Amino acid sequence: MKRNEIILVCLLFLVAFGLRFYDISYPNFRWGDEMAHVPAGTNYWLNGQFEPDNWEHPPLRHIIMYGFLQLFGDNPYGWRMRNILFGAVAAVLTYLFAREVSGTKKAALLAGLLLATDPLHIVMSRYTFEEIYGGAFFLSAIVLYQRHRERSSWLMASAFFMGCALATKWYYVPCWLLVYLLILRKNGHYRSVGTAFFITATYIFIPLSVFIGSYYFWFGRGYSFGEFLQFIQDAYYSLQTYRPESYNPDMVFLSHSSALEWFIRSVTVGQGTFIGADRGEFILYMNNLPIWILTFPALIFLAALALRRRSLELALPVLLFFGTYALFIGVKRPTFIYSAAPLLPFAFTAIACSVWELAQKCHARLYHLALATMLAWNLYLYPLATAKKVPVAPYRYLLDNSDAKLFRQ
Amino acid sequence: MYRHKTACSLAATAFLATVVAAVVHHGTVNRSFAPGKETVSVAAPEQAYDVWRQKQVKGRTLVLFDRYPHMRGRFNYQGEPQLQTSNLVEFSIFKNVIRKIYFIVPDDAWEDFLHEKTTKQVKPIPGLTRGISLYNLNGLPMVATTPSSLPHIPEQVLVYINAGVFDARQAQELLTRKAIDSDITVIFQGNRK
Repeated sequence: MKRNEIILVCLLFLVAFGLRFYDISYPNFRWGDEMAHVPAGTNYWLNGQFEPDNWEHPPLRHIIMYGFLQLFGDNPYGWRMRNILFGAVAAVLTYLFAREVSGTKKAALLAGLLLATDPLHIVMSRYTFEEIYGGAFFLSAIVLYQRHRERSSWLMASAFFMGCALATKWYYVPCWLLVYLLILRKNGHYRSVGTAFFITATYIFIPLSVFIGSYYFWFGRGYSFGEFLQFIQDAYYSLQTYRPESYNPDMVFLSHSSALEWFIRSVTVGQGTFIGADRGEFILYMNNLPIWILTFPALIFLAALALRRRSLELALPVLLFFGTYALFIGVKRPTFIYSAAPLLPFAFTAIACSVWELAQKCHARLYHLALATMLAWNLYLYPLATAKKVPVAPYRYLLDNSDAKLFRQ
Repeated sequence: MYRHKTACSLAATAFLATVVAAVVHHGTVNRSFAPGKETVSVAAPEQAYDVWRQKQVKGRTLVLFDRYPHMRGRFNYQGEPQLQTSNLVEFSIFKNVIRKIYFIVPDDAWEDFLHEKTTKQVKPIPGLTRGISLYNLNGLPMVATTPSSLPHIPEQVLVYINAGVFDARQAQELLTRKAIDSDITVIFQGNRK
């Protein structure tokens, strides 16, 4: 990477970090899931207990939470810095991923900026959602895989981060196995026993080690390995039993529980307060439809391009997107809008690559127009994701059509 | 071409083996048993916790002859639980005295138990005619079963009998019949509601 590009990447990080960090101490009390996530970090470290958080999800998040509480203290910075940092890193990783897919800086920059300014990613980066740092781990693993060029240490590092992703949420299991198969397939590695064993040991054993290791404190409650296997099975079955009525009825996400609508219908949930006649303060989780709706056309375009050019690199965003999305579509339990966050790097890479390809064919200015329009739109929505006091009028149509819980002060 | 394939493969395999060995060891050293065997009667459920604490037992399996749920978990978390009459099991779980529960349901009450609103089944237990894994907010492995289906448990267990619900002598005979060994048996003499 040349100096100019390093500066570009640093600037992207700063933009992403700034948008996430600004006014982070507001609200200065634990909000939403923070009420469960923060004490669970301490309970897990000290006692191996998951409560008051869900026990079905793997516990690396509690360990990281505890680490950040030690670093920054039991205050808004301690609760939220983890997501802010990993959220900003995710924008850089999206750039690096798209750079490898497209081969161009401009497409990569568009993808990175789309993630850096996406309202859903920003709002989730300002609280304690696992999808932010789990997604960053996953993306780290993918970027290292893309760039490993048969260097053993890079593949091992990729496997380690994949393990961290798996130890955060189960979302990443299909793509973990997919990447493993892609590595085996490349250059016919599966034909050589030694190489196949090396790839298996690296890409299966290391992630498994990280996953099992994250339960270290749980084992400290006296459990055996057989009980661990039983526990993982119970967690899997328990997750399947979740239904909308299993959740707290006050949960803001309940109005939209299907992954099918994420990229084709407007989904706006969250909460807000009208202050006086014409101002308000909102924390909305929304799918930013004007940009997200481009996802499926862009993925189809990219898939066609990949087929025509016989390029696995170009097909990678499509494979990783559908590898993860299929899980959300296929599971019986409700899937809420926040689960879309790990898909965004692949969606935005597909959109950015498509815009870049179209600009190459039609007019170079199309790229700049798309970049400016998309960024302006995202920044217009920024106050709605970050509890900024704003005039209501410019957002009236969005608020009127939302399923957010809106109150009057 | 990958370099140092053999060394890296061995390192990855050794990493997995070390992690598994470390967690298993961590689990084993955190299981404590009472030196002798005793049966204690208590006047209130929470006194059972004092008995367990005095004997410094931890990381244990509890065979629970009582009503369900006995532990509700807390949707509104207000810090660590405080020991009360109604939360002996929940409190003991939080303090890591209990790691697993066999919850005994009388055979003739099994069908009713399955249809109770509070019974949230995760899955049936393979090999048990009447046995299900129960959901609870803590994620503690909790097997509900009947006296006739209770399997042999290969480790020493803690036993808690609510004498208002189960006949203590019959419960102890059942454990003897199933060759289940206990270091501490607590009998609560009263009908806790």
